Amino acid sequence: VAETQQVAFQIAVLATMLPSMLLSDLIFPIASMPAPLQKVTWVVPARHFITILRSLILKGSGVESWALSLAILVAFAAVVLTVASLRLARRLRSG
Amino acid sequence: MRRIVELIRKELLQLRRDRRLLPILFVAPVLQLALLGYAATTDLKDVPVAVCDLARCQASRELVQSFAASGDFRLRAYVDAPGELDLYLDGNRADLGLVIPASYGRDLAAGGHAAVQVLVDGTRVNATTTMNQLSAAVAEHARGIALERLARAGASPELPGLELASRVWYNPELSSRNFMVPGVLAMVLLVITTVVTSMAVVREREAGTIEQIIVTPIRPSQLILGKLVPYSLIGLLETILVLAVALLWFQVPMRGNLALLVALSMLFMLNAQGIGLLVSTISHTQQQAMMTAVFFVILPMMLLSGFAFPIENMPQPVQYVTYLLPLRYFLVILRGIFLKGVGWGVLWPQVAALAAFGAGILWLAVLRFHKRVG
Repeated sequence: VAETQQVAFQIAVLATMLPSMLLSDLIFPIASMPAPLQKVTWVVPARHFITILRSLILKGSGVESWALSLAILVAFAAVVLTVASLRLARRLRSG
Repeated sequence: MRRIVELIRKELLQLRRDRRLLPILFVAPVLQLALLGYAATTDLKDVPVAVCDLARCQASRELVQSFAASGDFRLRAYVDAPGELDLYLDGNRADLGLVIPASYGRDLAAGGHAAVQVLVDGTRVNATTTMNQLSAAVAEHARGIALERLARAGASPELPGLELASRVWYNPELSSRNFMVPGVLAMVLLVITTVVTSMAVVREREAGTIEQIIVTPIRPSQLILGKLVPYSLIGLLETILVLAVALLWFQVPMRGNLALLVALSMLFMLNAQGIGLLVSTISHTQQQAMMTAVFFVILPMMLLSGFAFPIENMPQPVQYVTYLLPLRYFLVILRGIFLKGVGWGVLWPQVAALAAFGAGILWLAVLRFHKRVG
């Protein structure tokens, strides 16, 4: 059972790759997307990282202009890591 | 022959038992296409503009209004000094900054030249399109002013000028959705097929069942065939599902032969499955297979196949690389059948390339498996 779970999970992870490419402002402008989809792009970490990269490399703008993106990235990492460690703890207890 | 049938039965049985994998195989492509079909657009819409109107007269208001009316631009903010535009462009709150000088209304009334300045955020993906659209909007506005002035002077409201009689073929509204949805469709099929098949052989290796298969009197080609047929069945169902989404949900025009499209989609899937199986035979673990599939197959295909960026714009050496990507040929086929309604006569070189590539990659997979068994 664990084996197929692992496969399914890996595929689920991979299924997120295509959306992060297409929803990250890398190839297609977010402003052109329908409003509901624009909201979805907020939970795509790549979007915020791209914003920060472009601000730093091309614009050289100060931290205040990309602080929001940074904050979202930090929050996202915190949430994901917390969930991951909680799940691991549960598995260690039950195993 | 019976061995192959037995192997197919075993694979199908395994797939059916996998309660988690099967729903993903059918639901994920449909959901992804439905969602990402909306994302894949290069059309200009709602480009945020910050305006610094120093003239504050009727003429300047008309200019700003003419931008706002088009739907391409969205007025985000009015600022009092040109320096404040920096904040908007730096902070990604506006992609355009429009500066109308204090003398704008006077200059225009005096009949001379009036200048407006536009600051464009060059880091945006669609900066060039934005610039072109803006120039067109300004030219249109200027023409309107000239016509109005002629009419007021009592002259016949006719301006000498060149008219471009353009007729866009295949996609008259220039809707990028018609162009992009087939591309996203191909990407979705490619990702799910490559990933699933790249697990096919290596999974047996990890589970330890590969030894059992090796001791049976089955030949490598039979094994690959036995793996291929069940995944082709799934692929056919997936193809029909995503085609339905493209045609019924996104209303992409279908001008060519649907049966030909389905048949050639299957040929493309065979390529994707071949790549997946090859990855599977060269990998030792599923993680390895996954990494190989992502970095050496999916990422290059996405960026180099002509899906997102035109191949003609790439440097010549990179263009040669694109000949190795089945997706490149499939995209030409997809867009050709969907939008142009062309058939065999035009598409045969692409079909031949796909067939040759598919045969080559499957042969390699069989060969690799042969070596590993021995």
